[in-house]
Amino acid sequence: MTKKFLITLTMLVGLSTLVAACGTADPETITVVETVIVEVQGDTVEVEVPVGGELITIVARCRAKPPTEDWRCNNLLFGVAEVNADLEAAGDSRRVVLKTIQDNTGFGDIMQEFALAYEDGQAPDIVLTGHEFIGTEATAGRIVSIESMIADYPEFDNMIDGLWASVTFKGERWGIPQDTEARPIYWDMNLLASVPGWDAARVDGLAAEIEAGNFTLSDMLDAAEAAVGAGVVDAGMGFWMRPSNGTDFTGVYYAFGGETIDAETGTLVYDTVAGLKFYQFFERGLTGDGAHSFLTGDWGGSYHPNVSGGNVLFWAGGSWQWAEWADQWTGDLGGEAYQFENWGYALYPAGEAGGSASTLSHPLAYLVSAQSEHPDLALALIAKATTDEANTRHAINSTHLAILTTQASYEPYASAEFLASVTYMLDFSRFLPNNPNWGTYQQTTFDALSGVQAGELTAQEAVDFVVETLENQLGDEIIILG
Amino acid sequence: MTVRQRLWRGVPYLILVLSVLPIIVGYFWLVLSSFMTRTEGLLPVGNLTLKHWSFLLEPPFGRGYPSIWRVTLNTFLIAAFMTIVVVLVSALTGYALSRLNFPGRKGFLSLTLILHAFPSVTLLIGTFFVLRALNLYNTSLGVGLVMVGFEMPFGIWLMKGFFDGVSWDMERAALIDGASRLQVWWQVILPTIKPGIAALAIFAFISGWNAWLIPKTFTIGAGQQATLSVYLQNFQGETVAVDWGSVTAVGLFQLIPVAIFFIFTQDLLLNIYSGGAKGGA
Amino acid sequence: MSVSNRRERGGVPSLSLREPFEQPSSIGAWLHSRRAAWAFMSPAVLLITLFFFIPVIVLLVLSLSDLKSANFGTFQWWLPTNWSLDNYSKIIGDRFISKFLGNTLFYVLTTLAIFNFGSALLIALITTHINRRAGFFFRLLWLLPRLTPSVVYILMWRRIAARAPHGILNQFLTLAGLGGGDNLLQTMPWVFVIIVNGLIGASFGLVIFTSAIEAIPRDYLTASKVDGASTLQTIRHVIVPMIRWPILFVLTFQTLSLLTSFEQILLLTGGGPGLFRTEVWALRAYHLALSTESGNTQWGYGAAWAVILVIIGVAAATIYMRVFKFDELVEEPKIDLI
Repeated sequence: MTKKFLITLTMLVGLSTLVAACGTADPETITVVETVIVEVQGDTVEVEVPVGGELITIVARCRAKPPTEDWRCNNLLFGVAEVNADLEAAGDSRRVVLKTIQDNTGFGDIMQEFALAYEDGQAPDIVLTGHEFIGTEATAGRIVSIESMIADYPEFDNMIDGLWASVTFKGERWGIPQDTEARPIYWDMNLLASVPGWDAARVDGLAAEIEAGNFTLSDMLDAAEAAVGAGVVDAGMGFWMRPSNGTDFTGVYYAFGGETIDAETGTLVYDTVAGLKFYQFFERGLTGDGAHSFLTGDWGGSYHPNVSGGNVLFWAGGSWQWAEWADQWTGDLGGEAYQFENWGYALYPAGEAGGSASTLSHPLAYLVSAQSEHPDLALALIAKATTDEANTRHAINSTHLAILTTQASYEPYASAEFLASVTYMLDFSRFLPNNPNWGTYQQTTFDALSGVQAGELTAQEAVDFVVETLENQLGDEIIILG
Repeated sequence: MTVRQRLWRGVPYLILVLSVLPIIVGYFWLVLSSFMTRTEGLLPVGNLTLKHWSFLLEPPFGRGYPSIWRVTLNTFLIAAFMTIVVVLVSALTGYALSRLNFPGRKGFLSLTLILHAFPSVTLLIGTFFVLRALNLYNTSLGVGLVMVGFEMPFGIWLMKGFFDGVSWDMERAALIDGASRLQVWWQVILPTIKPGIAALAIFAFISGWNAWLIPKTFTIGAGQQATLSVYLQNFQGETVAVDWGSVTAVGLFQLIPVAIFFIFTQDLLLNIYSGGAKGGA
Repeated sequence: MSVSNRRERGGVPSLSLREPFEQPSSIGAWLHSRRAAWAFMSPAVLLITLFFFIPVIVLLVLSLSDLKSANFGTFQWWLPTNWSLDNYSKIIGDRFISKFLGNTLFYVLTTLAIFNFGSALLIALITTHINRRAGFFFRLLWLLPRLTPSVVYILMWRRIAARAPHGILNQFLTLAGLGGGDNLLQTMPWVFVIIVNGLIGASFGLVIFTSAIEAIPRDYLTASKVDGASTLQTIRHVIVPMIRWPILFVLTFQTLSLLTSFEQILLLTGGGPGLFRTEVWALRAYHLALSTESGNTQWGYGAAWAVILVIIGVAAATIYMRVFKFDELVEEPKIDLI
């Protein structure tokens, strides 16, 4: 199946036999009605530009790993004909065509590119990236607030309410969520059942216990250590997280009740009490027997083969990794069926008794450039991609979660067994804060964690290190709590 | 020849073989991995497969992404442009620095060396402002020129060293016969420093061929203009599981032409001396 | 007599030939020579001005400013009123400064001594003294790391170092009964950082030394042999003095390259394990201020880190130039005019 459409523009004759050969798609005023033929996946779509009308090219830039994530930009292409029909119906003489640019670049890289392109006056109209960049982009004035425009497009009414929080900065919405995911804790059911104190029934009930807040992260480490003690798994293989820096660790900090942003002022917050619990948890795991060997920086040689190969008891991963494990790592064992049979998954357990289970979601969002001359058309295209049909196409192909309330009952999504089974996690989702200084914050807390793992810092020293570094670098742009 | 002498003759080979052992093992794995479903250490798991190499026949990500041959052509053009310009400009400059006395000559030499102390990643923002002023941001020419610029200190220093080694007598004779400086440079001197040109060409071509940071920073997106290194990143991902077999296959594909190029130029490097010292006075 | 004079084929010292031409004899000739110099120099001067001098000046100014992606386009970093030394005082406030400096020094000196200079010279000497085809073959192998796209090259090394059963080295250790253990990047990160970088870096010196050694007239080597010198003596007293210029060049250039390089370390260990075990200055600059994992890129702050690195680099380059009598080496344009 072809996943990306080739657009070639050919200017053809309008009503008369006149042939216009303008091979350009720059905005221009057209003096006769013309038919623009857009080739989409072998089919052609005709765009009729009325007398005096203007043909507008909207440029969309998406970060997508091909081939699974190509729908991020490609979904917008489906909207072109509909938007033009709407324009015609509304008596608007503008017509729109779309140019897409997408590849698998880094989240940070695509935003650096956006900043430079903006400065050069070549910014795309739409850019798709992680929601946490909104703080930086909005502060620099490179994207527009779409708060006042959202109501014009009924498609956005179906957005899962909680997701709007991820695109809100200083009380206004600056983007449209495009996809999201959950980060569950997975476990190997066979291994867990043979840990002392565990049996098949207890394993089966674990997800519910976690959701109710009765099974905590510390209980999980108990099980991990017991498993190592009983020889169920090798030392260090009781609990694994991602091997390199990333947002998952913020999820654990949230599980211990930590906060990252002050809702009133939008200033970053570091909670030393939750921070201490966070580092104590990893101090116990990483310097003891339960979890010590996961921070290797090695995904393909260590993380994926071990967590999917029945060597690790508990591990934190992403919902999007489910399909990839099935495809690349457990394929010879039976793929998805094997995983359903052998693995369990649930929210991140509460850090300690009395806390609540949660997960961290990292929605991507369409942002509209402040350089766009037609933000309304950009948003109209985004709206057409924010439908059950379009978004489910992306969700299923890339194992991401629904963003619309209506998708849960939309047949293709509902029948995607794994997706359907983790969608409830969105109700427990927390997000990264939208703040320009988040990169510094995340890097510093991770550096301290590396120090704890190597035994170079105690939990308390790690917290001191974080506080000292953040105060040095961010000055009064950080609030230290506790 | 005594046994002892024979043993001594073997020592250099022993050192060489030991020194390249990790390289041989590593590249053996690369080749193996590109033909197997999976590997554990040096042991193949699963079947022999050609699927990782299928990108040669059809674009792996569908029609919207350019074919590997298009990307290869782009990469070749950039690398060739860079090689030619770097060699020409460096040879001109190196010659002047070696042969002509003019104010600022010494300062220029030390300065170009010192420029190498500036990490290129930190100069990107400054370079952006230059490209913007020249209206060359997001153009192939801009990318090519920036890469040529970053290669200049190396090229100039290398060329100057080679010119220093060329006899002045021959050149003087040509000048007395009425040749211009430029003619002498082109017809008399350049042919005698072919090894130097080959060495510089190798390095310039490699850095153009494997270029990643500069094309990525100064162009928008990796579409039809993509170079191989930028294209390769489409196969990777951090948390997204990576198709390792394809990464190694594309990587090897990218490696092969440069290796061939090296073999070709290396031959030139070696043969230039076999006919005796032509350049002597 | 200078090195390059001695390197001339045929061995005729050119010093006596040069003297009469050293000073311009008339104004007209003087102008003529300046014009020639300009003709030859102008393309490089233009390129270097555009893509080095101007960016470097921008870098210096940025290091005094607070330019970041959150104010890029609105902040007037070029106005002196927006300049301060804040970035530098932030760097001084970083308690791990001495660790980064120590790591950088260790990394540069060790890699340079063992690989970029040591192995390069050794392999160049060996491969130019053995069978020509064999020498070529081994040089090609040594060049492979530089030819390989870095992502693929690092992938290969990660595989070599990984835990058993996926790690190649651990697989051999297991087979040899030595017990395949943890990921070797965790247990001996420096060994891998140095080998991985060194194998790339050595090829630079290797190619340059090889062509310089090949450029030595055969007569010299033959004469040395006839005089009864051993191979080692020939290397020490004939070859090494004749390639002094390439040696200075490789040493200086590679010192600066190593100082500013971080890409392989970033991909291999990310500066870890633990707290900055293999984090060098350039990588710290990148991590703190230039990487854009999420949110803001602090270009001004990053520039300040880079400027300090540049100061170290320039100091190193100056020392090399003193030690190798750079003045003598450059103070000898062969002639000047006709």
